[in-house]
Amino acid sequence: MTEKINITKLARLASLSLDGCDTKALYAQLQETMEYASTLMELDGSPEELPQTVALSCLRVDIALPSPERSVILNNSSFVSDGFIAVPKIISDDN
Amino acid sequence: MITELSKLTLTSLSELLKNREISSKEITEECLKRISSIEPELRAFITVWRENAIKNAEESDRRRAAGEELSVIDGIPMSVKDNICTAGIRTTCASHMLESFVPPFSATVYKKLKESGAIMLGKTNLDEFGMGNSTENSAFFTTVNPIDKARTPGGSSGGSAASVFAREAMFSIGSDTGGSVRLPAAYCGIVGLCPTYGALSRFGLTAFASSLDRIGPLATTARDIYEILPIIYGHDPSDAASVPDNLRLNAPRTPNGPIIGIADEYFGPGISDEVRSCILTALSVFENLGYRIERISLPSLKYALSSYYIISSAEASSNLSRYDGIRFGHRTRKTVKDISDLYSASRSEGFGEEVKRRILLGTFALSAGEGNKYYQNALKARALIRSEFKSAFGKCDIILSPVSPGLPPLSGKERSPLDSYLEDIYTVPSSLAGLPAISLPCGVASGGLPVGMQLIGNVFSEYFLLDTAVKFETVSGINCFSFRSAV
Repeated sequence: MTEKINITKLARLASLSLDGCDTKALYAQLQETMEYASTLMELDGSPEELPQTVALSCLRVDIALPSPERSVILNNSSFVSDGFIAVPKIISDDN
Repeated sequence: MITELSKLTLTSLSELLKNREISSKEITEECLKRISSIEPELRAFITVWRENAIKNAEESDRRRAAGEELSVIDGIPMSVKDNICTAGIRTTCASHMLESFVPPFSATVYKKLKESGAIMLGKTNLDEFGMGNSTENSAFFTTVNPIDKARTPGGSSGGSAASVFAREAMFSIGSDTGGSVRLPAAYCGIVGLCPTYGALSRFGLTAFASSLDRIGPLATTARDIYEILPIIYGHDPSDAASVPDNLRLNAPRTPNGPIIGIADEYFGPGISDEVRSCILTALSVFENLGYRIERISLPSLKYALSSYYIISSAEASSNLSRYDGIRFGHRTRKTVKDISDLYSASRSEGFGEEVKRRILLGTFALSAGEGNKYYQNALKARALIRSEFKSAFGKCDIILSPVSPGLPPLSGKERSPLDSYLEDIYTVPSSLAGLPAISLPCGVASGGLPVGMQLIGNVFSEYFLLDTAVKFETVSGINCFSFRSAV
């Protein structure tokens, strides 16, 4: 394992906040797992293997089906206003 | 009434129902009574569906009284792992992220079971989103092993396995990504089947790692699984990975079989003496039954665990990116400065430690640079493993192995994530290859603890595996009744 794991960068990419996390311990755990997985590097440079997919059409016929009731969908959102899901402003008033 | 519930199986209860010696309502009430009395200790269920269960049992009894032709599971109580969507019943994935999520639709497998008259009792505990092998990663509580309360029931379908062994339910439906049906079945002394990838619909199963996720049944005996499987088997256009029925071709058997293959790679360092000894005894049972034993070699299995954790974490990091706290799932109450903050605060509050760890690992594997090399090599390893299994099935019909290197571990024991991942070392190879595998008890270890063996078959050989498992449990006399309940 030559490259160090950059936890802060990974957390940003994964949309996770690390507030309250023991980042030192987390780093050590990830590093230990990657060290174990480093046996995979023996396969570095070996020829590409065949893809594992089978050539089957997995697309279903495009038929419109009834959607669940609006109220059922809205019930699962924690912030609902006037029949819509409420979200914070994405564009500020200054823009 | 049925004071002997603990001595009955799905098959024997079905016979009693057929002969009108018992009603579904009586069985269901007995299971619910059992849930009330042992749940405070066992903690297998996240949600119990009490009222509806009795109502559905009464309906089953009415159907029977009317002389309708009924399925073998009509009127039999079941539990369902809480990562399988059940319309109108909370489906939490044992995560704060989905603590109050009520799906508007049902998983195909659950729908099929309901339509066949099975009585839904409730949703069982798991490691959050299926990530773990002890149920200790549940955001709510840990389930205990019903055979030894100091030990874990395995995971991630630990609640399902515990509920079946403890006869809170007569069978259960779990999910298996890297061993999550097979390991808890082994630790709880019952039988669990992980079918061929694509054999059972995953529509409605909360995605963890889509190229590995499968749904599988857990029951007291292989005979019971034999009854459940045809009901849930079959193509489903709603699952893009579901294999069309006409393409489910049985692979040819060896001409002088049946032959059981044994690979040294499944008996590596770290395997306990008790596990090894039980497996060897099981092997002699098969020899006495007329099976031939052949040595096989699967050298790329040394890459299996690494390959599994890289691929499954990469897929998890992608699958779990849907949880942003907007349309469903946990949303932070904190004041946030923008939408990105809202996402990261909601996700950090909603997900537990192990889930975050795997998302980060997966994000690393999918990043440019060193991480991506791991991912590419993990895919190569997976292809090698598949190809070695394919060659092995030219020489044998079944591969026999332990389910785990050791006995059920003590709960609450401090272990590094890697130590915990190593418990999956014997279950992940067939997961990567998409092969069917069954876990069944094969011996009793010290302290009355169960030892499980795994029978791995070629693609779509589920019924052959079940035939073999039924023969073993009949001749050896080892089954869930060999273990004393501690609850």
